[in-house]
Amino acid sequence: MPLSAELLERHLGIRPTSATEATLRMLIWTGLQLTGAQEGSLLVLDAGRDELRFAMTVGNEQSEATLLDQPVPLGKGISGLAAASREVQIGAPTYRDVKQSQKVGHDPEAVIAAPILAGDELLGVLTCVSFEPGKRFGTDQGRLYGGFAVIAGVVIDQERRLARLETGAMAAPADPREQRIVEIAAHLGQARPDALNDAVAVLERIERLALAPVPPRAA
Amino acid sequence: MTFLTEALGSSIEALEARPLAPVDVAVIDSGIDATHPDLTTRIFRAWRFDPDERGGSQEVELPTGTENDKFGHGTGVAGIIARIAPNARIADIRVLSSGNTGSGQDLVKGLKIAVRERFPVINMSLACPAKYASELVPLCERAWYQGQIIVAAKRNVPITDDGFPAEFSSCIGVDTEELDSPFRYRFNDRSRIELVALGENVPTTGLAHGYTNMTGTSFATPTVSALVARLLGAYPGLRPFEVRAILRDTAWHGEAA
Repeated sequence: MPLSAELLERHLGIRPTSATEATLRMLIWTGLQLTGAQEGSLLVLDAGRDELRFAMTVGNEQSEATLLDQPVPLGKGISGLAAASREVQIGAPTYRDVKQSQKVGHDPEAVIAAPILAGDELLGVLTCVSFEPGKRFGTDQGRLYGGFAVIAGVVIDQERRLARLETGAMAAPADPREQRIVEIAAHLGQARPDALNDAVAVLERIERLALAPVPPRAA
Repeated sequence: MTFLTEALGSSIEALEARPLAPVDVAVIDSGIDATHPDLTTRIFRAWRFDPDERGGSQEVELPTGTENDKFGHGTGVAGIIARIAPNARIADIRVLSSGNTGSGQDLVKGLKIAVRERFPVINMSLACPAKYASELVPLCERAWYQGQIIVAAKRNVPITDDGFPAEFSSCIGVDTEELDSPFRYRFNDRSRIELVALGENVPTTGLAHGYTNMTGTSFATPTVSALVARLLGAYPGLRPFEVRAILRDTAWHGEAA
């Protein structure tokens, strides 16, 4: 299996046989045509390591060969900022001087990083870059590419839901009381995420009490 | 002539010719690198949130002159305010963490600090997830009645909302456009997001003591915060509704670039 498909399956649950990978690739390609960027990438969230990881690169075969599976820390850079802020970020290089004549690093000339979300859940980041000297992306281009990241989020979320439905993981518990507990937890998670720790503590206490060995009664 | 009619009759750009009183501006963002040469004398207080024992976070006030930004977003925001409003003293409230924990709860906590400390201008270039909107409403109302002005960014990609708290009537919401000066802004009375200011390719301070250009609603917002700081520096008695009226009255009505 190609590395890109393997990474998408491992981190996003996208099955290699689905058309989702091709759809995501087409979204990035279309974004590049419309923004005038040279390369675009999809970085997936590696939740276990709290970092992003290149899972797809469009526009440059050499980049795809070198970037795939490379990690990007969540706490740094424009991709990390897009992930942390859940907002499209439009970047330019940093220079040592006010006149902007000497670059600090080897950053591309212009970058857009857009978060891929399913509701409030971060799935990854869509980026596009230009190496053309003096090129800058504007808000309109950021909004456009950000729109493609929104579509990517819907596509990935639908694919994951379909996969879960097919494997039966989304089937409701047979006992309606169990289903009610699941609904309460989901509602609480949406409305009062800060109260979830307390709710878990209460349920665990009930579980401990209910499953504790009953002391033998005196004869 | 009252101070309000005088303020309405002068441009915010021309205010620099007169003495401006210091105005405190809170920047609720990714933090600020207060060791940057352009910002060292401008950042007078700083906070961040550290993990607590219960899995949440607790506020920690930092010594002045702390490098408190890993992303550069807040440093860019602060640089714009410092450049346009020479009278602004900036309070850094860092609410973005480096992990995938989401910033919504810390953003609410950051706003609580700014309201508690009664900073006259509060810049929020980050939008809160919609689920925190109900927590933000009373905070923004309290700020409004305390005479504080919250300037908040519209989302760059508004899908289900324009951004919180930018949508609220108790805040000044800001969108971006390619305008030729930070002193040229539009007032949009047909939108929940009233102001449109320069947020395209704005030169500002960056990480590593460097300089960069920033683009997006996040960077139009400090442009407006700086204008408000200039107004309050010239007319310290202005109430939030008066500032809004002045911004509306002095807005530009020309064609887009």
